[in-house]
Amino acid sequence: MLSFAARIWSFFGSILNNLATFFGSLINHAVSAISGFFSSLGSAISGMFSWLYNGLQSLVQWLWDHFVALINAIFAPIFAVIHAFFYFVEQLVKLLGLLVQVMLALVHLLFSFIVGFITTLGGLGYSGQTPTLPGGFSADMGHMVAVLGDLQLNKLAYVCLFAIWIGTAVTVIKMASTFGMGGGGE
Amino acid sequence: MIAFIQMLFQGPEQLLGSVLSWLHHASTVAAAGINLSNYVSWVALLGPAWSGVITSLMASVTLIGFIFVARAVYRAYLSLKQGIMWW
Repeated sequence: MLSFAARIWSFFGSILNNLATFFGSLINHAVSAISGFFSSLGSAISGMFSWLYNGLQSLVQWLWDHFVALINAIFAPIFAVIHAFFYFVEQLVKLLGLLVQVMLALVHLLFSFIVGFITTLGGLGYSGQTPTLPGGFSADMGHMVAVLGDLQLNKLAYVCLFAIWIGTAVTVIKMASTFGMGGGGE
Repeated sequence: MIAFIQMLFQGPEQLLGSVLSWLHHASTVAAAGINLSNYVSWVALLGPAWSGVITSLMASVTLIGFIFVARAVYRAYLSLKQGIMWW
């Protein structure tokens, strides 16, 4: 009797035990299945998003490249014109520098020749002293002075002085009246 | 377009460069004064009036020379001004 009860008890105990194990494993499987489902769902969603992201990125890259190419195609002639304009200005400035150099060289030449000319003019000298004649000629010269006085060469000298004065005056007047002409000035 | 601009500026640049080189080759002249007493002192034999002629002739040449120099400098200034005004 006691052993029968013990057997029954152990039978029910094992049944309960099996049931508990069954339900435990069932719950376990269910949880793992659900979590697997969710994890696969998440990976699928994330994969979809990464695919979308990559696609968008390549699309934007493609659009940007073509946009840049288009902008280049549109603005390249304008950039070329701007470059040509600045090159023109640079060449013009170079030409202007050459012109100024030529002018400075011309002025240098002019002033060096003017200095020579002025020095030559200042070197002009005339003392007006009577040259010393050899002894034999002095007496003859004394006679000749009387003859020359008779010829009235002094009057001729005054006429020459007058001609020189008139010539100087006319030349100075002509030069002063055409002072700034011929220099290219308007 | 750059080549065209280069072709445009090649002529004037070469011209100005050659002008500059020729100007640099032109050396300065040596000033040589002259004492007229060594050559026309015989005029004094004719009397003081004739030496006055020589003196006044020299003064006239000097005056005209100075005015000529002043005019040349002024004309150079004018041409310089116009050359700068060119651009």
